[in-house]
Amino acid sequence: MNDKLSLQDLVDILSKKAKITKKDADSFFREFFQLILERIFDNDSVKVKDFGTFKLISVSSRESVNVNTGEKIEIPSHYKLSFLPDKILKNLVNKPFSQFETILLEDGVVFEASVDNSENAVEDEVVENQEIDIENEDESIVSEIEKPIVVESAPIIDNVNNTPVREKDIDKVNSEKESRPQDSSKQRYPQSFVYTYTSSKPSEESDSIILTVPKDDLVRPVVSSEPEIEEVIQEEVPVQKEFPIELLDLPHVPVDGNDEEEEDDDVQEEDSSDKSTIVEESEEVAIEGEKVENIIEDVQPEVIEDEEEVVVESVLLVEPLSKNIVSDDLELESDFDSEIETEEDIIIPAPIPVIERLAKKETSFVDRDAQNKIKEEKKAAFSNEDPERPLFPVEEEEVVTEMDFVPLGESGYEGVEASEANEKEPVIPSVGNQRSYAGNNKPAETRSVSFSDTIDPVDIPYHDFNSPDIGSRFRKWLPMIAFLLVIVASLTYGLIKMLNKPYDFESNLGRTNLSLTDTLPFIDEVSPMVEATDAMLDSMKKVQAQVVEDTVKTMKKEPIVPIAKESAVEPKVEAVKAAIVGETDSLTRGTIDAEKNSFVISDKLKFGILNKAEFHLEKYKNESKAESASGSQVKPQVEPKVEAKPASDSKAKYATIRKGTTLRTLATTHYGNPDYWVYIYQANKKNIANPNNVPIGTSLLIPPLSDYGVYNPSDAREIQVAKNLEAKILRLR
Amino acid sequence: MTNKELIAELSKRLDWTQAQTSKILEDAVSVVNTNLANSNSINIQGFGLFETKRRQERMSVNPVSKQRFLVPPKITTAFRPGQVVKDKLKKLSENE
Repeated sequence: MNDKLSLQDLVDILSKKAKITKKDADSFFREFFQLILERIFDNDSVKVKDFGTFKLISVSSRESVNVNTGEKIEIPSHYKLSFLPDKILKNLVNKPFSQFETILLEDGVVFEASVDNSENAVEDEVVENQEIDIENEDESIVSEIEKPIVVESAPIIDNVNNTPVREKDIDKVNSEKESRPQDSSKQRYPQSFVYTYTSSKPSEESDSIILTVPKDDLVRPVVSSEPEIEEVIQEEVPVQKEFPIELLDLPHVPVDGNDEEEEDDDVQEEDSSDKSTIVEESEEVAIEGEKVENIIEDVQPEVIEDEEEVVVESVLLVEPLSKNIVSDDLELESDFDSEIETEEDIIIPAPIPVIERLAKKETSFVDRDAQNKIKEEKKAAFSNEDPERPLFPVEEEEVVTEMDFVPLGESGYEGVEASEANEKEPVIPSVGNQRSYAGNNKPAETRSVSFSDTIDPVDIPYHDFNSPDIGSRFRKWLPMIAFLLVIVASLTYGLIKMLNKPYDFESNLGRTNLSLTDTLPFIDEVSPMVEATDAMLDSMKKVQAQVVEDTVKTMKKEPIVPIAKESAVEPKVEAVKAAIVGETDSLTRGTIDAEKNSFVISDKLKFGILNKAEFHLEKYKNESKAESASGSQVKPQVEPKVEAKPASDSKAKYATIRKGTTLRTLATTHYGNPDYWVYIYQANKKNIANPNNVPIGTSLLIPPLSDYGVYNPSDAREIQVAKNLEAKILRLR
Repeated sequence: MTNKELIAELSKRLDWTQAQTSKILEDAVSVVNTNLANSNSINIQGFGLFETKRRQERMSVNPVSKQRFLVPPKITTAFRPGQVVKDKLKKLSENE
């Protein structure tokens, strides 16, 4: 590539290719070019196939200008040897660009301007980046300026040197802002041009122009907000510094009559140059001591009033400017407004610490040092944080207590979860769970903290904008909150597991020993009658296994609802009956409860009252026959369910992720509802790195829903639980 | 001078057959062409320099319809005559 070949190289290649001696090849080339030249100078054109045409062209004399001297010279007529490449050679050489075609340009597309602007735009961006860097530095400078106002004269001089530089930057920024709207209108073209260029469809140009617009919008607010902040800070600083001027009753008050931005800057530059002397004077004044203190206290209110006027003026200065910049951009306007508000916040309380410092300077040196330290710490925090939102610790804490916790307690999502937890708690079957239940009764503080982490994510940016420090406080608390959350999550997870255990009646079927703890939690529900049965249980503990098996068999054959009835829980059975008449959902719930009762209790208890059960069964059958058709329809539904569940429990299904399958589709096929994908995810957590992107070919265990306490997949509440879980999982990502 | 005449003249000068000359000429041209396609420049002493140049994209206007066209960039072959040829050309123009 890009080699320079000589005739010798050509000879070598040709001799190799045509399998002739080098001598022959050399002589051939020499004769070839010699012949061409000869024919050319005979004023004949020479055409070589596949290569091109050599031609002698006569150029007539023309006038020209000597570039160096500017004299007019005449270029005499002369001949020119031209080579016109053949079409084959042209195409061969142009192969890399062969896909391009000539494009017809629509009206209104300014091509030259767009090319220029694309370069300009890039330069502009670079310049803006530099500006931003400078501004960042300036912020630190500003914080430096604020620190040692009266302490020492040397640093102040440094600062004075710094301020003009900063103001120049601002000038740049302002001029840039003024030019920005033009840029944005022009910037559309280069991008549209690029678009059409690649697509080579001129008809789509108008669309492409529209496409570029949002990009501009995205870029501009970010950039233009930066200089605005700068201004805010700039205006804040001089106001603070003007205080000593007021104090000394100097005639030079720069704030008044600042109609134009440039004048303002000039005056401030003068102001800053004056300041070195002023500050020295103010130092002297400070040394004078208590007199000055008195004066300060007298002057203080006036000063504040003056400063408010200043604020108003500065606002006036800012507003027209912002309207000039982007009158159409409402977002920006609102930004300015908010900044103006913050500006007022900043300025009014600012001078007070200065006065305090002046006052305390004489009284106690150590005090002042300590104060300065505190000041510096604040300043450090100030410069670290976004300059838009300065810190005011006293106000913050109020804000935090009022705004952060109160709405959180009301947040709907947590409330749902908590209520669910409360629903589940009474059902806890074992003593071990009571500890975890107690664990939920945490002190109010910790609970509120854990809630605050689970605020709706939409709320967080809102807090960030208005009260800045909540964000940082949040960050401080985040590890603790996360830790608490993990604990709570693990506790609830364990709770769910515990809750699932009693449902696993298949294992209970095999058990012959029933302890008091198994039945204990049901005391609440089941009334004192169960206590009596417990007593009975203890006495019946040495029952032969055969009898138990018999009872189990009978149970399996018969519908469970009637059995539950005869387990001496009359009111409950009444409820179940009502449910049968009513909705199917609540019926199945009732049957589940009935199952629990029957299996846990009846294992041991039922043989003693088997006769009674049969009696009730007969009675119930009669009743259900008498009842409406819906009741009879429901009953068969119950039976297969009871039998199907052990089957699904014993063997878990497996599925492989294929192309196009997701966890949701799997859940739809296996559970009938896509929301239950969370349970598939829970069962295969270690295989699934990201639930949104499960690699093809992953083999997944499809757990029975009963493992997760879901018995009726169409129940709206179960779906809600699954959705909550989904939200939790997705938030953890 | 057409290609046929060129081959005839060359075969006479080299004392080769016309078929042979034609084949060699084809090979030579293909060698030069492939080198130019690889954007190599070929300098032949006493004759000139063959090289490729990249032409920038440009906008052209149809003077009749005033339609504007964006002409894409392209690579072209360029030939710069050598000093010997230039001198000869100068002589040629002076003689006239």
